[in-house]
This record gives sequence, structure tokens and C-alpha cells, in this order.
Amino acid sequence: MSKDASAVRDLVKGLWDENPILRQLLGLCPTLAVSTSVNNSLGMGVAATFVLICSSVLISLIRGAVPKQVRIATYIVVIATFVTLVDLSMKAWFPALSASLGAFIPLIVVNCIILGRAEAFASKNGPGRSAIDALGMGAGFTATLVVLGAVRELLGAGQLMGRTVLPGFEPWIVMILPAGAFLVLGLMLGTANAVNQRRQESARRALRDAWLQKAGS
Amino acid sequence: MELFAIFFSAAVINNFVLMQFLGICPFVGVSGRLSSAVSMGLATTFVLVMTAMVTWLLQAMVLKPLNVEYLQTVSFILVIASLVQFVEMVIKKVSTGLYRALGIYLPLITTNCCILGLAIFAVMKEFTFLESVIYGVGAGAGFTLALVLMAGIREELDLADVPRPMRGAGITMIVAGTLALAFMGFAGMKF
Amino acid sequence: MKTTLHMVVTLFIVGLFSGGALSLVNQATAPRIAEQERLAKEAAVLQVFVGGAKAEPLIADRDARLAAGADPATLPETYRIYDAEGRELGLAVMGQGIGFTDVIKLVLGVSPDAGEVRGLHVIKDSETPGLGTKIRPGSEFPKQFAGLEGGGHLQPPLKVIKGRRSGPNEVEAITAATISSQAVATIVNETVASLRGYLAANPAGGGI
Repeated sequence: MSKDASAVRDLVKGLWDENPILRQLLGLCPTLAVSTSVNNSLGMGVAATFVLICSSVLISLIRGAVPKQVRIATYIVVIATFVTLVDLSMKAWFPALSASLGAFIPLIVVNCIILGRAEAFASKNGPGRSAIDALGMGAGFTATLVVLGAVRELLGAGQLMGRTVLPGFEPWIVMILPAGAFLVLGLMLGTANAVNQRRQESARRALRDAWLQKAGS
Repeated sequence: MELFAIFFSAAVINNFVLMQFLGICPFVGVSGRLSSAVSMGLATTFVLVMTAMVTWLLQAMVLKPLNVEYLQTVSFILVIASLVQFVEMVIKKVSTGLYRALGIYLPLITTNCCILGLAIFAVMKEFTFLESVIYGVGAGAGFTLALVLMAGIREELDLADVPRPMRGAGITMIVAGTLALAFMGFAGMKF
Repeated sequence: MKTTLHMVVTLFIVGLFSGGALSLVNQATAPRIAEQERLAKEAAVLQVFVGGAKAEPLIADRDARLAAGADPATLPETYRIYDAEGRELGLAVMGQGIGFTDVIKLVLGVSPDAGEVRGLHVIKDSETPGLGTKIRPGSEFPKQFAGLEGGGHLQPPLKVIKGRRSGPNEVEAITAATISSQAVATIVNETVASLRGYLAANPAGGGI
């Protein structure tokens, strides 16, 4: 496979095939907590993606110099540093968003996606590819968060991005509450699995048909 | 009474898993069997209480006096990672039986957002040392409670006809949502 | 031995990088963060009175006294509020307490002798959306604290009732959010008691 095609594949796999939330089941805590509105979801997604890219690149750059036994501790310090950077920057320039996201900004440091990618990818690949992989994963994370946030904001407040979209709609408060978060995510997981299983079924069928045809001819 | 209120609030009213969304990853991953749920819950509670103590001391004696509160995230997570390593070593030495039972779960506790979340919240709420410890016990109790409830229900679900796409994480989320709804009934309790 | 040294050196360098980078970022952002917090507090405090333009702390050395170990309950965070022409509108006091879900933080406006309530502004809460959140500014509930229909103001200690109010110390609860309403009333009562206690102990216009 050519280098460009594999780079594109690295980027795109985070959006669906290896979607960190829906397929890998990582980073569920912030997903549920923060997705009460599209704005909050976007803010968290962008912040997490920034930390993911920066730490992946740095970890990839130093991967040769770090002894195996202390690699987890090292990765954690690197990630925590970037998280604090984002935390302080948000407090200084986006105080309202920082207040909405609350403690979940510092909690990005234990977002399993970041440590997971560091261990699974960045520690074994060059900085360029690690950055692309991180971007893809971050994009997948953000996209899923935004969809979840949109559903919850629309049904729970009749709004999208703070603007009323369904006037006269009596909102389903449960959507903004923890129970609603679990329910909507459960349905999204079910949908993602259903779509995937159907794709696998048709792929399997296509393969079988091709084999039968070959065997018949 | 104040201490009991903190304990009950952390364990039930503002349950760390079902209300505050902390510790979801192990909640989904480990709640398949009742026995593993109990083990994970106890191990996590132990780490939570130790974390509450050490991070309180760190905040009061180092971060605040030296005015380096911006190092909180980095120092707290390092403390947690070290504590988990330490707990793992101690359990290995003290009881190989227990170590084998908890084995895989221990390193997982480091990335459990419950632990770091507890440390951050305890500082935000400006608890005293004792209040932080009770908060840690309550959080652990709540986490164990949620895990045990979920494990019990999932063991029953094994015999039910869950639609294929919903099996595993999907149905767990739906059950969690129902549990969260139920726990809302505790809100507003006063002591 | 070589690997142990390697491990220690790696961790040390990483720690150094982390500490150094964060220290720089902190220096760059700290003044701005402090400014944001000050602006937010000032905005909240001024909003509790119509036409509030200037806020002046009542207890000038409050931070120092708290650092020295004074009981926060005896030193309420209070500001004198003046309008654009320099006329005193009243006192704004910060209060907080447990609500239905979690802590509620609010600013309370009172007359200079803390005898009556002139305004209420909830600045932080985690109450049930759609129900308890009706304590927030803009809803009907806080309007009672700014003034009563027919004239006059609420006089603490306050009591929450479910029907129509009949006395100057009664507050109408939010339908289906009695606990949130009661929480606010309790915070108001405790804050006013604390302020009255301070004013009684420090007469002659407050100040120090």
C-alpha cells in the first residue's frame, strides 16, 4: 500500500472502524458527563484532540530514549503536562467553557484514549504518522461527542448550540440528566454495532458468492 | 452527622458512577461477574482512601504553601500511579491468593477517573483531612455498590434474549441509565 | 546499574521539562486568570442591584484575617455597592450552602443595616434542569427578592411557603422544586445572620 494511502487510512480509521468511543469503548467518562450540549462537546473534543496530538508527537519523538520500565510513568507526565497547559489556557481565554466543563478538563489526563494511543501507536511509530493517527482518533472522539451532545441538547432543551431550534417543544429533561446520557449512548452503541454487523454480513456474503462462482466455473 | 452526610452523599446521592460519571470504563468492563465486581470495588476503595489521604497532604503541605497549584494535575496523577504500584507490590507480598484474584485489575485502577476525580473534588470542596478520607470511603462504597448492582443484573441478562447489536456495552448502558433514574430518588435527602 | 541510572535520568529530565513548561505557562496565564475571576465576581456582585456601578469591600483586610485563622462565618464576604452617581445602594453579600444536588453559590443584596432583602443572584448551582434551575436569574423566583408586588421588601429570617404569601418574611416556593427554594432561603437566612452579627460587632459604618 502506498505511503499516502496508508496515511489516509490512519486518519480515517479513527472516525468509524476504530472509533474510540463506539468501537473501542474508551473515554466514556467525559463522553457521558460533558455531552449535555453541542458547545460543551465541541470544547471537550477539541481540547482532548489537542492533548492527544501533542502528547502523541512528543512521545513518538522520545520513544527511543525511554526505558521500558518507566514508559507509563513518562507518558503520564507528558500527557498531564499538556492537559495542565490546556486547563490554564482555557481558564484564561475561555472561562465560560472552562466553568461548564469543570473538573473534566484535568480528567483528560486519565482519558484512556490518550494513554491507549500512546501505548498502542505513538510508542511504535514516527511522529508524522502518530500525529495523523492522533488527529483521526481525536476527530472520531469529537464527532461522536458532538452527535451525542446534539441529541441530548435537542431533546433535552429544544436547542442546538444555545439557540432554540424547536420552539414550543416541551423538553425531555431526562436527556440532560445522567440517566439520559446512558440511554442515548446505549442506543448509539447498539446502532453502531448493528451497522457494523450488517456490513460484515454483506462482506461475508460477497466473499461466499465470489467463492461459489469461482468453484462453479 | 456532617461526616455521615459526606459519606452518604458520595456513596448514594451523588453516586460517583451513576451521577458523576466517574469510573465508567471499569464499570462497563468489569461488571460481568459478581465476584470480579466485588474484588474490583474493594481494590478501588482501598486506593481511593489512600489517594484521599496522600493528595490532601500534598495539597496542604506542598502545592498550596509553595504556590504551585498549577502542578496539581501532574503531581496528583503521579501520586496515584505510584500508589497503585505500591499497593500491587504489597498485595503480592502479603497474599498471593488475593493478588491472583485482583491481579489484572490493579494496574487498571490508575486510569480510573474515579481516583483522580476524587482527589480534585476533595480539593475543590475544601475538605479537611478527615472529611477527605470519609469522602474517599463513600466514593469507594458507591463505586462498589454500582458495580455490584450492575454485575447482579448482567448475570441475569446472560439468560435473556438481548438483541445482537445491543449485547455487551449497549445493554449495559441502558441498564445503567435505569439505575441512574432510580438513584435520582435519593436526591434532596437531608441529615 | 546502567538501566537504573537510565530510568532515573529519564524520569528526572521528563519531570524537569514538565515543571519548567508548566511554570512558564502559569506565569503567562496567571494574571489573566486572576483578572477573569475578578471581573466575574464584580459582575455578579454589581448585578444584584439595579444600576450598580461600583463595588467596595466592606471588610478591607478580610483575606488577611482569614489567613490568620479567623472563622469565615464571622467575616461574610460583603461589598458596598454604589451607583454611577456615587449613591450607596446597599450591601452585596456572598453566600453558599447545600441545595438539592450540590452546592449553591449566590450573591444577596441587602439594605445597609441588613434589615431587608433588595436582590438575589444565584451564580453557581447544579440543580435539576427545568425545575430547581428556576432559582437562576431571569426567572420568577428571584424577582421576589428584588421587591414585592404592592411595594416593600422581604425581611429575613425567611420562610418558604407553598401557597400565596401573606407576610413580609414569606417566600413563595417554586412549584415542584420546594427543596431548591428552601435551600436558597436557608442560605439567605444564614448569610444575613452572619452579616448582622458582623455589623453588630463592628458598628460605625463597618470598614475594618
